[in-house]
Amino acid sequence: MGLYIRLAWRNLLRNKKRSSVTALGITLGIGFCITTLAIMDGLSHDLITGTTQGQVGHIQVHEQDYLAKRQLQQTIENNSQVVAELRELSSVKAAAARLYSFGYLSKGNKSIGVSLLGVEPEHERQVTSLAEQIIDGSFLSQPTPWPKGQALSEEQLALDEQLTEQAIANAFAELDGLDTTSSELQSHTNELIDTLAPLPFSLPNVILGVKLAKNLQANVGDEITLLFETAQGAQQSLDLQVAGISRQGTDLIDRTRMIFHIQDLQKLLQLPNQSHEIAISTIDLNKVDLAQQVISDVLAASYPKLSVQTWSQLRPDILALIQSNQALMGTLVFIIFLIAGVGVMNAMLVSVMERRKELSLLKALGLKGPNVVWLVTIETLVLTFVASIAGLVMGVVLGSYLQKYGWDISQFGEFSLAGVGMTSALKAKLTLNNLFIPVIVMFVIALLAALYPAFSAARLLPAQGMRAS
Amino acid sequence: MKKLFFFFIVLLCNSASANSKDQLGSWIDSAERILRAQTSASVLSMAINKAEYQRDFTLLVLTDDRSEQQKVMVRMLGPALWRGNVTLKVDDRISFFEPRNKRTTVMSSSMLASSWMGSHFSNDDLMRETDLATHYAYQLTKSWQQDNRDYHLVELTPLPSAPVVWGKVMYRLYLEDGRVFPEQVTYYRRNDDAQPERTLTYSDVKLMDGFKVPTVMEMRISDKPDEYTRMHYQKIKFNSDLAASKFTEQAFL
Repeated sequence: MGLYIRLAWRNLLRNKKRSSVTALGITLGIGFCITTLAIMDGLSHDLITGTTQGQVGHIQVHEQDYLAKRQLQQTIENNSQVVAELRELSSVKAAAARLYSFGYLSKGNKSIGVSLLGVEPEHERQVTSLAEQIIDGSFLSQPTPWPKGQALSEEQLALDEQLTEQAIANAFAELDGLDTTSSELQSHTNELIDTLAPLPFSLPNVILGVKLAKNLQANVGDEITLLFETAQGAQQSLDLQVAGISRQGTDLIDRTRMIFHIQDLQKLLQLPNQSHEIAISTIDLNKVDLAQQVISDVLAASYPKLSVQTWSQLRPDILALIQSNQALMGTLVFIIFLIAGVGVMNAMLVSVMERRKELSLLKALGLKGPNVVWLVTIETLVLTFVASIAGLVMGVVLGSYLQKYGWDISQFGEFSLAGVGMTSALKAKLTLNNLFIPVIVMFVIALLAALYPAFSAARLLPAQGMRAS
Repeated sequence: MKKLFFFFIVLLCNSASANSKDQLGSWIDSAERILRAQTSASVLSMAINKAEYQRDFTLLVLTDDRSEQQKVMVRMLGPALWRGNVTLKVDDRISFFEPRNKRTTVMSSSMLASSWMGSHFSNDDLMRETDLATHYAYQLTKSWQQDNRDYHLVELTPLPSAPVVWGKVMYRLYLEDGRVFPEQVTYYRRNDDAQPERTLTYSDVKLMDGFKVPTVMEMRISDKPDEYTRMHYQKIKFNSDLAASKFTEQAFL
């Protein structure tokens, strides 16, 4: 064995130029494969964290039909109790309830359709990076002090009917051409409304998406008016104050999203203690399926109408995207290796042909066919081994650089994949798999590439070979 | 010469069929306008019955079709939470006024299709345009006699590039004393749908301001048979000289 390695080494050194060019091919192949795989893993990792931390969380709980229809009334009832029970589970790191709706936002004479999101600021911080997306102003903290609405008393109901009668009478009179503007009617009405749906003591704070704020020309501290429909189908409008501006990275969200404190939005929509979604962050993302099982079991007993889903069930497109990316990269890596393999085969074949005379001499002196195969294979493996070490070093250096500093792709503009806002620097992620898979695959391919030159060397006829010039 | 003759024949046929089409179009137009006339002012109650909530509104509705611009104003008279709310539509511009904070929100025409105040009527329905009389091609499906009235069922299919959401509308109307009364309008999402998406029924014909008009309109959605929105006209005044200032946003205040 030692003899073969020595022989192989000497043979390789005999034509340094050819050996080093072949080795360089293998080195570059392995080095770039490691880097590509690392970038790929970094991208997958970014996609998953972008999905889970950006918005989805690890697990979500909904009313069972909510995702299909997304109707305002399909809420998780008894929200505070459900959330409290979830927070007690050991596999749950944090849980944050959310409420969704739509509205029509205006400032001055500009109006835009918006989607409303109510969050629990303190808990949301622990589930997603929503709070870190603020680029101006501050994130929400406390709910707005807001008195509770009360049903009208018998007396007030009677007054209300009387006021309606009066309004009808006024309207009839108006039809007959009489002027009947009555400020008293409106002031009585306002008193009743203040009982039914009192206004908050101060303007509720909201966060606007960056493009929404730009389109409305709204800055932090500005007053805006929201027209919305309550769960009871009443159209109402309310003045709000811009507390902050957020950039999520996805165009649609930055153009339409408006964030409330969940308690403010519950008051607004008249959905007390209800939510549409509970986003959960688990202790370990790799054991998310187990956590899902635990949560479903806990909820199934007391809340049979709720459904529990993991991020990959909620966003199967992300998982599919990752898988298709991996398949694509796998194909690319395979092609790189195939080219490197053909290079190895070519180099070995030339080397064998050049040494026909001496290989024939060796055979004539008694070296058996299998041993010739062995010699050529060892030569290839030694070459691959040396080149692999160089390739590993190159891959680790390049990969660690990209892992630390990232690859700045911001010149291509802001970008998002499948609705997940991505960071502008593509960061690599080196793993053991990324390092050794290219090396092992390279060895296998080198071995296969060595076979043809090796066997053609073994088949040499000593008598003919030695006579060749 | 032969060609010219042929051309005239074609023209003649065309105008003949156009005549009967015009007839159908004018029927639809009159039926659609029966509660509007040139101008109308009416007080009506609206009952919304949905799985999630029941609600009764009282409304004052003013319409003015005397000029090119079609103007509609709906002011809510009760109950308290809604009293004084005004929805105004002048052509495609809808504005919404809330008296409590004296705010006027102008909505884009994309809001036309969304529901008005949680009812089964869309903003566009309530602000009833004479859409059915302009954007459709008409075909008489059936005619019959019933209760001494001439009944007709007209199929409306949208003209190419018409800005409408319906694929087919079946309009049942009858003629009485030379006037056209709507009875039932069924709306189909697609032309070949077997099941209509919603049905609007007119009933309870009464004398209002000297004219016989249907005073109850009921909208039902086929998917949800228990739900409906019913409008009941209590008083209507036709063709009075409504001031143009009533249809401006300044009138809200």
